[in-house]
Amino acid sequence: MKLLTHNLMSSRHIKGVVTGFPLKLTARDVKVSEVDFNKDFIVRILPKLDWEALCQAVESIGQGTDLPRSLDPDFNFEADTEFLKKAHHVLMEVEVVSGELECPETGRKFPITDGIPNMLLNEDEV
Amino acid sequence: MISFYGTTGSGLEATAAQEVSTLGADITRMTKGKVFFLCSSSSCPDLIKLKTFERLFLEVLCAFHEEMEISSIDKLLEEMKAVNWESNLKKWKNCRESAESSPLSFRVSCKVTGQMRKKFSAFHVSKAVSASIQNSTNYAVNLKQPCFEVNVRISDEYITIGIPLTTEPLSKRPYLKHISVRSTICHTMCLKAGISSGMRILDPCCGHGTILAEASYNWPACIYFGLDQDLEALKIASENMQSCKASTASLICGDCARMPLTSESVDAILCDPPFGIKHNCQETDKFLDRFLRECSRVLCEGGTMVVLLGGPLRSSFEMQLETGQGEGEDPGDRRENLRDFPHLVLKETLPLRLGLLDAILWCLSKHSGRGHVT
Repeated sequence: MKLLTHNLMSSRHIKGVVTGFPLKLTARDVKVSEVDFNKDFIVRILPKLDWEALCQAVESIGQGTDLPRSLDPDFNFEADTEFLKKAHHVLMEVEVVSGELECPETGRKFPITDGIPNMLLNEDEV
Repeated sequence: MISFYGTTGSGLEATAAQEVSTLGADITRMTKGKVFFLCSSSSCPDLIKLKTFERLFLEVLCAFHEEMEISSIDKLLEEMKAVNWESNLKKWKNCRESAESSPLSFRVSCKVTGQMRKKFSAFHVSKAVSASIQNSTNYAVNLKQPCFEVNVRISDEYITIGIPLTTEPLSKRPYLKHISVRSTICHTMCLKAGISSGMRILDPCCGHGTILAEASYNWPACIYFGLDQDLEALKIASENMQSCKASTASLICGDCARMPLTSESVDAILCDPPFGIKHNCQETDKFLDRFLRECSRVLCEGGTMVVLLGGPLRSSFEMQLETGQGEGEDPGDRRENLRDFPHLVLKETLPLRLGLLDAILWCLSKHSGRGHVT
């Protein structure tokens, strides 16, 4: 599971959960593999992300880079290739192979196995 | 300009014609499952990269019965006399990636359908055409591994003789390991969704991930999410993602009626919902309601949903359809939307066939705005 995926996942499918975002992430096994840098893609995708949630996720799996904790709305990231490459790294190259996602409201845990998070619920949870 | 024709799945003719037009080709004729066109020799090498055709042929001979009646094998052989095989083979080689070495060998394959079976036998046509080619060239017949094939098709509408540009159909993608939905249909769904760079695309019941794999191979600068409740299917999907080198695709095990996703988080939904086959009617409606509610929740304003519908699911969708007030100022402006989800507006439909089954593609767009039901 890439951190890009984590960024739009939520546990609001659990009965009673209002936001369910961001999910707490714990990693047992993290894989870093090289992916070609596509500047245009990163520039287009960044405004669609919740940056703070991404930073939390990066930290929680010990991939702490020197990313800014929040993005200034005036920050012209398009011109900052070094920043875009860092964003590319955490979004595209870091992958959680096994670990856990946790609902921030109920504490319900969801396992990540072979890179696939299992978000299925039992019947009494919906 | 050089004459070609291509075969398509039923219903995909116009999409295929549009796709080949992007190479600067002129469409000369369209008929059920076939598109005839002219292409400049400089664009020929790009033909085999087309994605919505089943197979492509260099046209050697084409006669529509209404224009030129060829009613017997002798008449056909008479027409074939004018064919210059050497020049055709030269054009054919120009469309191929690897050059064939001479001496050339060939095989004739013939199919006769409809009423024409009374006049022509495929066996005799093959034999006669084969002999005619051998007479006018020095090419040898090789049934097992020919350099090229001569494809003869006789239907109630036309007779075509062509040389297929590829040995395998174009629809058999080398980059897809497991094809569960026809690749040409997957591609059409992507085209209808208007995929462009930076989009977030979801298949909420992705199964083996064929649609996502086809999309991510051809539009790599997007993010893809595949959701399915079947972990075994996701393992196969994972292999597909690897074979097409989809570096921006993610798989999640989850229920499409309760998506573990934040609201307004995707720009497009591509989907071939499997339900309706496994569930009974009442359950289908209940499920459909949940499914559409979730799709409309996770879709961004202005986002597109392309869904492939067959069987009972199609009728359930059609029952939902009603005419509502359009977006424009004009009170007479009408639009078609879903009754229970009025901001899902029907933009386009495309009837097609899945093997023996009738199906339809629905392209919906999410427009909250004003449009209210009249």
